[in-house]
Amino acid sequence: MRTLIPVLLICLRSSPLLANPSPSFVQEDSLPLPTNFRAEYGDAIHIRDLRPKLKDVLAKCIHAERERFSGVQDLAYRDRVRALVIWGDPADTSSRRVVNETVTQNYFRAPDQAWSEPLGSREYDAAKRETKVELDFDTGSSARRLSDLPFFFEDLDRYDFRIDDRRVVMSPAAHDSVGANSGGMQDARVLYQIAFTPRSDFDATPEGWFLVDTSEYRILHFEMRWTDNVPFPAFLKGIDRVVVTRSKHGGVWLDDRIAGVIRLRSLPRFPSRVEFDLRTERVRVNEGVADSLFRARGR
Amino acid sequence: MRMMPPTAAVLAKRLGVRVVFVIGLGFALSAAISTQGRAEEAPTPAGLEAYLDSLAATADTLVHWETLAPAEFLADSAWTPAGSDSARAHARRFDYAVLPSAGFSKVEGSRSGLDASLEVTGRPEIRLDLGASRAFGWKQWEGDAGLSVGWGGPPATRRVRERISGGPDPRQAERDEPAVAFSLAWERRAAVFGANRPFANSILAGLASLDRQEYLDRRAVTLGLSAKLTTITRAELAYEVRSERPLRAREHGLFEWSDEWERNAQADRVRTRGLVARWLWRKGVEDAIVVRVATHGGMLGGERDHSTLGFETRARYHAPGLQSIDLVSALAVAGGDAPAQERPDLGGVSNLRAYPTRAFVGASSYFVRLDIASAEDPLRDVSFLRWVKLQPLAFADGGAVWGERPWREFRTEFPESSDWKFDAGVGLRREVPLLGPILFARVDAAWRFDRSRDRLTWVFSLEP
Repeated sequence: MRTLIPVLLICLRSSPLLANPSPSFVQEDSLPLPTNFRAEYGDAIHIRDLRPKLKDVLAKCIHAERERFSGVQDLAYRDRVRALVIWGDPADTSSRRVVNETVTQNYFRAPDQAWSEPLGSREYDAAKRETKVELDFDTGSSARRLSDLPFFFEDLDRYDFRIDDRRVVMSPAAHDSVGANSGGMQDARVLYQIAFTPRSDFDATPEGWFLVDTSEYRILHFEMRWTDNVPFPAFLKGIDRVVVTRSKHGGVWLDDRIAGVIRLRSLPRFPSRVEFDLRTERVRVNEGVADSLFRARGR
Repeated sequence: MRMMPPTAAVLAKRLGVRVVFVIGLGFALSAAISTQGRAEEAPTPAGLEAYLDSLAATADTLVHWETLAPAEFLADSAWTPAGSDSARAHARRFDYAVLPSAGFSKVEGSRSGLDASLEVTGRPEIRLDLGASRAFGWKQWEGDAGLSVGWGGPPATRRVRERISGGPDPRQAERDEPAVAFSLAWERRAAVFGANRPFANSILAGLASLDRQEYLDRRAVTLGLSAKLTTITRAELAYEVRSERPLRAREHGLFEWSDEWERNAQADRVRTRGLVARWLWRKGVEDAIVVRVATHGGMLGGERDHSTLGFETRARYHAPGLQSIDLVSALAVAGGDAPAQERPDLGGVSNLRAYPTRAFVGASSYFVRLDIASAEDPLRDVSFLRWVKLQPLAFADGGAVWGERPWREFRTEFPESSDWKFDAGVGLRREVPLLGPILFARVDAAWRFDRSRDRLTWVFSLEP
C-alpha cells in the first residue's frame, strides 16, 4: 500500500482541481508537505493551496529588497560602461559611430559612505578614425544608503502588477533524480515572472517585468521599455529595451549588468541610436575598505 | 453460488487502486502537457544559474559591441586604466562651467545672456555662480551673483551614479545637499509680482508668467544660512536688503482673455531690510510642507515695518483610474505696514482660477486647491489621434480673504461666510516636449460659484 503514496502525491500535486498545475513534479513552498508525511490508502488528506498571491509576492519581495544590503559592511566594485553612439543603421558597419568605454572604481561603507573614482576612459570616433584615452582624476562622494528599492517598488501606486508566469527550476542533480528520489527536489526553485505596466496613459514610466525567486523573494532579473511615453520626447523616440541582470556576490544579489538601446529623434547632425552596456566587475563584499578613502571628507 | 464479498472486496480494492493509479497518471499527463502559462510552453533549463544565464544572454543581442567596436577595444576586452589614485583624488579641484541663458517675459521681452559657475571641491565646498543677461524689451541689464560655502555634503556637480539599486534615485539630489551652507547673493531682476510669497505661488507665478501682468524691478542682497536637519527637512535663515519698484504692467498681455485685469493693485515702491526664515519638509516633488516667516523694518532698518507669515502644504494621492489627486492649501497673513506686493491675495492661476489675478486683497488669505488628473487618454483607441495625448482634468478651488488692511495687532479673526469664494471646472493638459522647468500647457474652463453675471472664465497656464 505504501507504494501508492508517491502516486497519490503525484495526483494531489498535479491535479488542476486540487492545486494549480505545476510544470514539474517538485516540492515547492507554495504547497508544502511535511517530510515525515505518512498516509494509508483511504486516508483523507487535507490540503490547501498555499501558493502565494500576487500581493504576498510583492510584499515579501519589497521587504527582501529593503533588506538586501543589511549584512553588507563594506562593498567595492568596478563599473565598466560601454556606449555606442550610432548615426544610421547599427547593422551597417560603415555607419558613423563613437565607441566609448569608461571604468570607475566604487567603494561603499555602511551606513552611508560612498566613494567613486573614475579610472579612465577610451573613445573611438569612426569619423576621425582615432582612439583617445583619458585617465581621469575626477572623484566624488555621496551620502548614500544601499537600501534603495527598484523604481517600480518606489512608486507602487503608479503601476499595475500581474503574474505573467510561474516557473520551476531544478538543479541538474534534481532534474536527473526527479520522480525517483525526492531528496533532489529540495534544490528546486519556484520563480515568478511579474509584469508591471503604468497605470496612466500619460506617465513617462516604463513597462516591463521582473523575476522573483520565492525561496528568498529576491529579484533576479528585470527588463523594461518605454514605448508610448518617453522622458524628453523632443529628443527621445523610444527606449526599446533595458535588461538588468543580477547575480549573487558574497551572499548579496547585485546588479550585474544593465544593457539597453535608446532611439533618438531624427535631428540634423544628431545620432539616431545609443546602445549602452554597464557591467559590474571585481565585486568584493565585506573584505574591508581603507579608511583613507573617506577621511579626506571627514565623513 | 460462491460467496463473493471477500474476493469482491479484494477485487474492488485492487480495482480501486488501478482506478486511482489511472486517474493519477491521467492528471500527471494532463499536467505535463498542459498549455497553461509559459512554463509549459518552453522547456525549463536545468538549474537556476543556467536559466539566468539564458536570460542574461539576451543582453548581448541588444548592443552591437562586437561588430561596431574597433579591434583594439575587442582585443583588450578587460581594459583597466590606472587613472585615479586616492592621494590626488583628495586634492582640491577647480571646476567651471559657462552656459548661455535665454528667457522671455511679457515685460522684459526676450532675454539672453551667460551663466557661469566656479566650484572648488574639498572641505569646505565653495561655489560661485554668476549670471548676466540683457532684456531687449525692458532694455536693461540684469544679473545675479551668488557665493556659497558648504560643509558636510558632496558638491552639486559630483553626483555618484545610482548604480546598485538598478535605477536613478530621485531623492539622491536632496541627500547630496550640504549639511550646512552659508551664502551671499546679489540680484537685479524683473521679478514676477507675488514672487515673495510661499513657494507654490512663486513657482507657479514664475513659470506661468505668460498670464501675469505685473513685474517688479528688484535689487536685493541676501546673506543666508541653510542647514539640513534631516534627509528631507531643511531650515533656512536669511538677512535681506531689498528695494523694489513697480515696472509698467502690460495692458494687453499674451493670453489675456479677461477685461478685469485693471482691478489689480499696483506694487509699491519700497526699500526694506529684514529677516526671512523658512522651514521646509519635502518628500519628492509632490509632498511638501513649507513655513515662511519674515519680519522687516524696526531695528533692522528700512522704510516699512511689517511682518508676513506663510504656511503651505502640498500632497499627492493616487486612486484607480486617476493619475494623481493633488491637494494644495496655503495660509498667508500680513501685519504692519506691508507693501502691496506682500499682502495676501487670491485670484489667478495659482489659487482661485475662475477669478482674475489679485481679485481679492486683504490681511489674511487661505485657500485649498484640488486637481484631479485622469489616467485614461480618451483618444487612445483612435489610432490617428493617439499622438495628441490630451489629459482630462477636473479641479475645484475654495478660499477666503479677510481683513481689509494688514493687522496692526495680534488677534484671532476668522473669515465670514461672505468672504469665501469657490470655483470648479474641467480642463485639458498636454505635455510640452521641451527641456526646462515647464512640463505642461493647460487650458481650463473655470466656473465660479457666485452671483456675478459672467461666471465662466477660460484659463491658460503653464505648469511645472
